[in-house]
Amino acid sequence: MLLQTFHSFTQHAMGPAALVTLHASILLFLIAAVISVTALLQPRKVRMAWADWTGAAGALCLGTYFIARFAEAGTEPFTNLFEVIELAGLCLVLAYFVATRLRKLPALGAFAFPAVAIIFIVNLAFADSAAQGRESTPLLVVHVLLTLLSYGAFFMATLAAVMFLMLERALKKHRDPALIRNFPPLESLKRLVNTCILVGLPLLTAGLALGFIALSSSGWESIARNPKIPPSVVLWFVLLLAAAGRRLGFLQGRRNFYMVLAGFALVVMTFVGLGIWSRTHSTAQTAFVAVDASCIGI
Amino acid sequence: MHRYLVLGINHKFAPLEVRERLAYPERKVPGALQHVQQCLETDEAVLLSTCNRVEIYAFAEGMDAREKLLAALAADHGMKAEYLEKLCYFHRGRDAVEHLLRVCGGLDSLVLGETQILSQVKRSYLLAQSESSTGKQLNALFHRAFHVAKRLHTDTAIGQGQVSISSVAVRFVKRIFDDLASKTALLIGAGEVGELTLTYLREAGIGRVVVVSRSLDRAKEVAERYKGDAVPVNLLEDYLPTADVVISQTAAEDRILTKAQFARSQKQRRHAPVFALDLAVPRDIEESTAELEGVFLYNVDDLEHVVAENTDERSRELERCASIVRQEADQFLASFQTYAAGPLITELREKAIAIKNAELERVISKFPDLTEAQRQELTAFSERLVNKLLHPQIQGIKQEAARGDTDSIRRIALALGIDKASDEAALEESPAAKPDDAATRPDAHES
Repeated sequence: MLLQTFHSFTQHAMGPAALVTLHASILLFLIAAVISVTALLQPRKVRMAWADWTGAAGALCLGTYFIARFAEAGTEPFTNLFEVIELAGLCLVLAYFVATRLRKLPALGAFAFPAVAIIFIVNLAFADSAAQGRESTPLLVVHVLLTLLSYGAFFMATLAAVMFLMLERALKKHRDPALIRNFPPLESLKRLVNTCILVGLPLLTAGLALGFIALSSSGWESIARNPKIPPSVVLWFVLLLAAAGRRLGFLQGRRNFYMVLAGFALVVMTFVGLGIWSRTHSTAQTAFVAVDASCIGI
Repeated sequence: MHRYLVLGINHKFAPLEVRERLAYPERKVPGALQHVQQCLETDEAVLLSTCNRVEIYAFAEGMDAREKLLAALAADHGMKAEYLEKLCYFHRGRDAVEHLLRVCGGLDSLVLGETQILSQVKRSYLLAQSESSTGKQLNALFHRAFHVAKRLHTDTAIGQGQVSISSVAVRFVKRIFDDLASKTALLIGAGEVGELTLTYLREAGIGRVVVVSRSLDRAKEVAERYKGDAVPVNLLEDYLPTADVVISQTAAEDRILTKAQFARSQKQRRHAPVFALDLAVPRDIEESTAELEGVFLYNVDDLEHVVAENTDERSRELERCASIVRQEADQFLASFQTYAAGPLITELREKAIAIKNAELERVISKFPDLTEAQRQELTAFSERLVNKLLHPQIQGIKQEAARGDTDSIRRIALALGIDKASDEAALEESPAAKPDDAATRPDAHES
């Protein structure tokens, strides 16, 4: 798959700087994932800070890759699904760094880096890296950025929700396994989930609205045919329900967190499905997906 | 190295009544240190006195140090030395070094791996230092012991996991809440473990304490100790929704808190988490309460189970800790022995330089026409020759010293006609080489 990606990019004249930084970033995220999991299981031998530094180096490489691509091809990283998912990955990592700098959240990295590494591996395996030549507009750029940032926030909410459910289960069962000893307290995780939803929901709302406006110029028919619209709208409702449920008190505790997990699973499934679809369908259909890829929010 | 010695009693071999009698209040420590110094004719002694142990560390010569220390200890407390002899352990040399490393690492403590002892040893050492009762030998040993204690707690899991019911309970509370200052603890009844848990919670920074008891006077008395509020038992349900931590330890025969009461409370709290600790036997809180969203109900068995797991976990680390202690003791003694060979090396060099100077003077006097440059070259040549001849000898002495082979050092010293160093080496002789001098202790306890 890696060779295929190389091949595909080489066809589109990717320079050596972009190639090196792209693959260095993926490698660094994989290393960060291994370090972070080891730090969770063996905290006396390995420090989570090492994973953070490695992840930061990976993010730096990925950022450099986007700059190199822009310098050589003159396009933002929205021209193919592969780069869009890479950009989403960068947003997830940035969201992790923002969250961990604002609050002490030990062990979160052991979930964030492996998740990012998995996203990148799946991306390498499935996403189409061939550029599709749709011209970006400022509206489209803002739409994509807002949507990806909201995904970053939901990604953090999902990680915190997973940790909350693991910790809550252990506490309910009166267990004290080594795995959860470095987890942040339940209250911190709950607060992180709620904050991420409150930050992510307006971003997603604005991103979706701008996406509708951007697509409306191509006619309502293209909106109706877009395969990402139904899951995106469902996601928006799920997150709205989670936020309102918590606020109004009709959806508390575990159920609220299950909603968040379901919402993020929907996002992942949409992307993975789209990636597989774009790989397995004909050129004509791929061209259609590319238009979708450039409007990932809807 | 075998002048390091320790005599003491601890919780393993002496009952509390004896330990109480032998304990030194801090004000009496300076006098006791002086007494030990006089008895052993040494400048270096440290006295450690805690609730679980009384130990005297010293760096002194003489094979009757044990008897002298026993006599000093007995005299200080008006007891018979013969009685104390049965309860005290005595270690010398390597055993004494390893003992201090084990004590500082919490390996010899009642609660395995506890860290309080390290601060107690540090305090005792600083007190001895302030009384000018420590020198370079004990300074080196104690600093190494502090380093080893840190290493044991960093490299092994000996200090991991809480090993008392109260501390485990507080650990679980901290897993739930991140800001204890804004939380309220509700104590129902007033049992010993419940109060101890409340003490730990106060130390952890719990914001507010409310005490509920059938007797308001008793509630007030306990509340006063923890700077909390006292509430009569009929208001318990009103205060339940305000409590983030509920500790119950009453003598009631029936359940005093039901699932329905907690359900109502949780609704008011909007299902915010609550940690309920039921320490009573028979239990105070209905078991099915644990099914409620946000309620984390623990009883004595639940906590004891975790305590047992943590204790097992620490015990499994003992072998690793013992290995680290041995390794660190080896390193310390090797560096100490190399240091102890210093006088021999110095004397060897001085002797060689004296011979060189005498021979150089004789040669130069035979050639009065030598220029200044030629004289300097001859002097430099003789110095190089001496250095090169001595280098393998000095390295050999250092290696033998690091191995602790005092016989070899003594032979070298005798062969070179260095009597003073030979005496030094004799004093350093290994007790292990002479079974009669081996560290003595009551029965066959510590190794």
